[in-house]
Amino acid sequence: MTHADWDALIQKHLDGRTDASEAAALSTLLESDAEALLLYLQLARLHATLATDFAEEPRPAIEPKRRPDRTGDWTRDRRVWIALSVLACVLVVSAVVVMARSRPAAPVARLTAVSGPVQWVGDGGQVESDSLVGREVGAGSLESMSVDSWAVLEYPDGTTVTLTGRTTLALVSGTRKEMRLGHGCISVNAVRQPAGQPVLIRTPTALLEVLGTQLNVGSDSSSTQVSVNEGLVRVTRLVDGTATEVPADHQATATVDRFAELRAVRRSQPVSVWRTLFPAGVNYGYWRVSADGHGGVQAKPLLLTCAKPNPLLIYVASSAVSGKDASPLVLGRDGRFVVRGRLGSTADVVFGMTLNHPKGGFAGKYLAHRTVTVPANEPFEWTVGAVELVPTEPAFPRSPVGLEIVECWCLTLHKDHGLVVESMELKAER
Amino acid sequence: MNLGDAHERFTRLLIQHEPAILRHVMVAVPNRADARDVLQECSVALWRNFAEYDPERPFLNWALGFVRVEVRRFLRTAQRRAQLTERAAELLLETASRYERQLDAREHLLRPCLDSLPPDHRDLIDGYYRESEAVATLATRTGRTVEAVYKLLQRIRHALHQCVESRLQGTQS
Repeated sequence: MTHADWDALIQKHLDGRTDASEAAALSTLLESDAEALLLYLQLARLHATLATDFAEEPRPAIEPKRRPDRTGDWTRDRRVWIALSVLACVLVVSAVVVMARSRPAAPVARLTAVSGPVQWVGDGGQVESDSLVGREVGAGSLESMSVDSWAVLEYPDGTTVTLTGRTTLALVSGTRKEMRLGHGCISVNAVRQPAGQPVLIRTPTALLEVLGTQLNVGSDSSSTQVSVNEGLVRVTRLVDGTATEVPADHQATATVDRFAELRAVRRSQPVSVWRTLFPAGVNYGYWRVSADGHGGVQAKPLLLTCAKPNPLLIYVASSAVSGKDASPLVLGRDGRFVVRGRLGSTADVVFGMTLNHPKGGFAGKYLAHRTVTVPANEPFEWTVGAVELVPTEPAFPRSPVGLEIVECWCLTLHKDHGLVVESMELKAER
Repeated sequence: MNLGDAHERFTRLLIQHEPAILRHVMVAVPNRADARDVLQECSVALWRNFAEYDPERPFLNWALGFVRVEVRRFLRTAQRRAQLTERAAELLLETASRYERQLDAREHLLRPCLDSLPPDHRDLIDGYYRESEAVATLATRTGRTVEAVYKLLQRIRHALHQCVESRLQGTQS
């Protein structure tokens, strides 16, 4: 292989065009030849510099600076209502139309409610997203794909599992209830289980054994948060096998860090004020720094392939929510959210949140909308009162006041409007 | 130090060093979206462990330890694109740290090289990197095939590399 061949192979890899065998050949080359390794480093650094430093430089055409926040009434835009209804309301409310086709051989549970883009991936790899309500499902994965989607599974004994937001849950077939939470949030209402046969919930970092209880679980690749409202849950940390029992009104976090303490702590008193501490808490989006030194979460594309009638592209920045010392955050009647961010162009922005019942499971999702018009990349500030938040489903409580907030997000529709959320804050004063 | 102070200090340090951290990530994970995902995980890990950060030590050196962990984790789970082996990625990150000063020097020489590009080449680089335009869009806009655009991007980067090399020789002689 000549230097020119090296150059071509390395650049092909930098452009993301190598196939598996070429990437393997390149890896072998880098592992065995110091000169090739240095050439790769020089070209990769050039690629990275072009992609980061120069790409971040401000564009030459700059509009005159004006004050931000010239917001309009979103609700006037019919087109966006239609798009949002697509996004938020793929609720199949009709009674059960159990499909004769592709019925699983060994049903494990039944889907009793679905809203927003949700799909079922059977253990044979078949993907289904139509008429899911009432469907009996066996081994496979249920995927709630968007920040505002959710789904409820019910086992024959009445145990229910609610997935909210971007969550993937795999069901395992067998004589006991067993599931694997890949990432995301679930809320479990487990009826009392036979002795020695707890519900098993596996996450990338923990094993949860549930006898009969109400609990909420959040998980990502490096940690699992368990919040127990009723009953008792045994949490075993996978990294070292350490275990603890989490009683009612307590919570625990199992991480990949074997030196961190795993213990149940009483849930703190609810608080009513909160502010994002990015990059901590980012559920979806890119933490990044603008050319003028402002940190924020850039909305990240999310293609909802199972949205109806057509796939929908949204750009989302979302954050987990908890008060100081992981206290639950309860929305008060006088609560006001202040969203600060930037936009590359005028856009319809949706602000939404997921809420749980106090000391309970999933309660609902609520939204507010605005057309935000600001000069490109100038800051905007949008204040949303609690009374402006509307439920995405008629079945949810009419007002989110008094409920516990677990996630907040901002999104734009159809194209990248350059949405960057610098902070979201809940204030309690009038 | 209360949480607010710690967060402000952390944010300041992260803002200051984020470009350098991202460049390190992109050595092993060249796709920009993937690299941003790794940076995201890395930023969260840094914040989670910030209480253990010794302010006497350079922040970037501390952060690069987390970069290695997150890159390794990404390579184990990423299946969307053909990736380098963990061993090759480790070697790259180790060597990049050793050659940091030399690579920084090269970076400073890139600006004049970029400015000396013919306008159509500069336009293509701006479209690809600054505007993040898809190669198919660039192909349509410039009347080339997708393959031809990739080839031209390769030639331009090769020319930039050569330009940096010759300027480096000039500064050393």
